[in-house]
Amino acid sequence: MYLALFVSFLKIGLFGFGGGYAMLPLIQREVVDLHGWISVSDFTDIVAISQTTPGPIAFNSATYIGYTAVTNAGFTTGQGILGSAICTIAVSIPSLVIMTLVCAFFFRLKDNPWLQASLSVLKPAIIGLIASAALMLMNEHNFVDYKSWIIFGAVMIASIKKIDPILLIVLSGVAGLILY
Amino acid sequence: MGNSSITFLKPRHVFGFNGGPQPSGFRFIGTADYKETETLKSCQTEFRLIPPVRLLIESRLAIDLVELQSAFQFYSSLMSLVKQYWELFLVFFKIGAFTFGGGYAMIPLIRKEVVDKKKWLGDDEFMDMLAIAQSVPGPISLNTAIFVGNKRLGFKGSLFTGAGIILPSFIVILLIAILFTQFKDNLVVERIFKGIRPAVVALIAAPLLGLGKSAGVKLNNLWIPIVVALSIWLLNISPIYIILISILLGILYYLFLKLKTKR
Repeated sequence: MYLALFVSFLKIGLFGFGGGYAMLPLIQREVVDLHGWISVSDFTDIVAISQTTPGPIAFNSATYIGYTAVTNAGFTTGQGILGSAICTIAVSIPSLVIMTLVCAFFFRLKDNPWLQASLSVLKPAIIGLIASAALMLMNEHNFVDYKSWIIFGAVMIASIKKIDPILLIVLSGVAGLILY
Repeated sequence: MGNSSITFLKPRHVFGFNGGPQPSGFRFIGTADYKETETLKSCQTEFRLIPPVRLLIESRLAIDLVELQSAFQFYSSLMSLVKQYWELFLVFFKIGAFTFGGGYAMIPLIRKEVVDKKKWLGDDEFMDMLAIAQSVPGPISLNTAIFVGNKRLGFKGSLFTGAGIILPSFIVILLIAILFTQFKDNLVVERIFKGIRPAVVALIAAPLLGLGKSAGVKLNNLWIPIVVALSIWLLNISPIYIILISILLGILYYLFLKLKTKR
C-alpha cells in the first residue's frame, strides 16, 4: 500500500503542471477513482481544509490522503503518519529532480523556444484542467439540494468580488450549520 | 626552511595566523610549521640558550594551541554554515506557515523575503525563476524554494528550503487529519461541511476567468480549455494524457510554423 501511495503521488508530482487547482483532477483520479482510498466528499473536504490552512494544495492533500488512506485501511495512527510522510515526499521528488536539473543546466530555459512551444497549448489546457476539477466536484455528494446551489452562487459572486476565501469558507460553514 | 625558522616573543607570527586570538601567559615560540619534528630539531640546534626539555614542553603547548585554534576555526566555520542552512530553512518555513491558498498567494511573500530582505536573488532573476517554476511540474512554491536553495548552497541548500516550505503544512494537515477522522461522523461537523463543499467548488471555479486571461486564452484558442474540461469530466480521460498531448501539440504547432516560415 505504501508503494502504491508513493507511485501515485510521484505521478501527481510529475504531471502536476500549473499548481494547486490544476492538480486536483489528477489527484482525484488517482486517489478517488483508481484506488478508492477516499470518497468524493472526503476529497472535497480536503480541498476545503487546504484552502483554509497554510501551504500548497498538493502537499496538503498528499499529507491528508496519506494519513486517511492508511488509517481507513485499518492501520494505526503511527503507520498513518508514515503514510502521509511517504506521500508528501513522493509528491516533492519530481520537483526536486527537475528544479535541480534546471539549476544545473538551463538557466536560460525561459527563452527556450521549445519550452515556449510546449507551453503554448499546455497553458490553456491547464485552465481546462481547473475547470474540470470544478465540474467533477459538482456532484450529488457535494450538491445535496437547492440550498447547496444557493451557497455556490453566493460564494461565486463574492469570490469574483475578491472577498477573502477563508472568510467565505467560514461563512458557508456557518450557513451549513444553520440550513441543515 | 625559511618559513619554519623559530622566532621568540613575536606573537604576530604565532600559528601563522595574523590577528587570531592570542592566549596570554605563553611564550610563543614557533610558526605554523611546528608539526614537523625537524623544526624541533632546528630549535634545539639554533637556540641552545634554552634548555631542550623546556623548549620541548613549550613547543608541545604551541602545537596543542595550533590544533585548538584550527579546531576552533573549523567549528566556527561549521557554525556559520549551519547558520546559513538554518536561515534558508527558516525563511521558507515562515513562508510555508503564513501563506494561505497555495502557490500564487505565496509569490509576493517569497519575493519580499528573498529579493527585498535577504537579497539572495535580483529582481530579474526572481522573475526568470518564477517563469521557470510555473512551467515545470510540481507545486510552484516548492519549485521556487528549491531554486533559491540551490542557488544559495547547492543541492543540500535546496533540501533545506524544500523541507522548510513543506513542514508547516505537513504538521498542520497531519494534526487535522488525526483529529478530523475522529470527528468526521459528528453531526455538527457534517452540517458545517455540507455548507462548505459547494463553496469550495465555487472557489475553484471563480478564478478561472482571471487565470484564463493570464494564461493567454483568447477566442481563437478557447476551444482548448473547453475540450480539455469536457474530455476529463465526461469522457473520464486521464489528465496525464491530456498534459502529454498538449505538450506534443504545442511542439508540433511550433514545428509547423517553423516549416511555414522557411518556405
